[in-house]
Amino acid sequence: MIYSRYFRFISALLSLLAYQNCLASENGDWFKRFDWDAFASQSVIYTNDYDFLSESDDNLSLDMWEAGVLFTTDVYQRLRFSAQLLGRKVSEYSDEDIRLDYAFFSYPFYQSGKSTLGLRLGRIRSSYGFYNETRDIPHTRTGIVMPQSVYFDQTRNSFYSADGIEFFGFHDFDDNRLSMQVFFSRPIADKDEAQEAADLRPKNLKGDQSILVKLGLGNEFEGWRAAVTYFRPEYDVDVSFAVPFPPFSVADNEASFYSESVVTSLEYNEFSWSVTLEYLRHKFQTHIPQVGALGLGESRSDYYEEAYYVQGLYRMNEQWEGYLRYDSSQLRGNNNQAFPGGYFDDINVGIAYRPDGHWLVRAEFHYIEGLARLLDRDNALTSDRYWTAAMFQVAYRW
Amino acid sequence: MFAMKQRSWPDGSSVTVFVLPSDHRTHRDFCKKKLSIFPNQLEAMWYRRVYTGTGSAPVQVSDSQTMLRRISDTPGSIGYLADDTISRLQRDNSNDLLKILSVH
Repeated sequence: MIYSRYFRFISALLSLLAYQNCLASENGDWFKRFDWDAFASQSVIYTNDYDFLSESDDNLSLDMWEAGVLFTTDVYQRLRFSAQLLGRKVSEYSDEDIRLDYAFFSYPFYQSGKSTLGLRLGRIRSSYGFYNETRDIPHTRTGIVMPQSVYFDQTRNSFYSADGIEFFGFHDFDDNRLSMQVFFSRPIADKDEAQEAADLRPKNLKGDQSILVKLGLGNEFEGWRAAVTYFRPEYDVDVSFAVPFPPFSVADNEASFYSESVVTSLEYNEFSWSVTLEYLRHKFQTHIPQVGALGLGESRSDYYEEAYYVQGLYRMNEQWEGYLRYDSSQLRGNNNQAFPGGYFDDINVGIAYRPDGHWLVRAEFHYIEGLARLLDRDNALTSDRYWTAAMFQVAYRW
Repeated sequence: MFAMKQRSWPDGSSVTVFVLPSDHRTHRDFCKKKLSIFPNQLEAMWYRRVYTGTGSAPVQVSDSQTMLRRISDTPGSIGYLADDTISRLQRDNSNDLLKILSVH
């Protein structure tokens, strides 16, 4: 089953590449340059007590795989088009494994030696934090899974790319770059992820509007770099919930839900080591007018999440590297009260081996307390708070 | 320039950057000794520029001979070669289209 999806995916990629190559050869100034990359990875996951991104509870699971092709072409002069077709399996209950993850035009309307101003239009991967834009490429990640405190996989498709327009600009001075992005969009809501979005078990989740603003400063090579991201996607939700006295069910198609995040990112790089810290302050608000109309109390509810990870990476040589990460999140309600199941603390350690420029082999171990980053659709959550995950991954890039 | 941040020369003309394959010995030495970075870190930066639409990746050439030919043929381009190839070029004075910069 998995492999028939691989074949379907690979055929789609080859057709796309063949078509683009035809365009490149037949049109002078059009499609002058065409770059593509592709990758595939297969993970083996073993966990105790819960399923994590696969059917892995007391089981060596091969469920999690990723494959993607990214391509970019200079459509005409400075107008560029970039897209990623991604195949990914992280839950037994996901229907669609292949999706157009992003596809956008990019045009720098002002360029000088050190400054650029431009815009992007289309389905765009949000520039949330340091690593969201390249999170799917195994070779650019630090571990097999992203730090789940900040880059959670529960609502990855709904939260991290959207249809809209982004203005970007940057200025280089000395060895540093000052950058800014402002992204207006309509969020994409993945139906498989809808029930992970809130405790409402929504029947339908539809993107309404979203804004992302990011400011960055620093040097990627060595020394410090820092960024602050503000991100607020809003959604329309259809909900159906039970009312206990007398027992009946209420449907509300006027409900809404928004999430507001501020991510502060800080990193220090040296030749053989890096330290990264990203801190997320996250607010969710749900509004259900029917609840207020029925006299059942507040029609709004707020939840706050504080999450962060701190990670040290050591490069032993160009083939071997290892990391140690502490990853934590805590959910709180209106009155700052902690939710008993709303937390997640993960101490994880991993090692990576790159035999050449194509292959990558990784192994990592997670010791976790808390259930807040488990997929609801895969698990019947119990009172057992401690669990572990061991992972192994082989990835190849072309 | 090899991080693809700088796209033009001081006179405003555009830069074309050539690199060798990531597992080529000269590329690995150049990254570690001259840029003080591992090759996979440099590639991650190119990925970020290319697939966010904010820049390009360098043009990859297969070997040192091709690197030499492409730099000679392309005005405003830059690349790198191993010390022994550079020494041979200087000794033979065989290519007056190239300007050789020694980086220490």
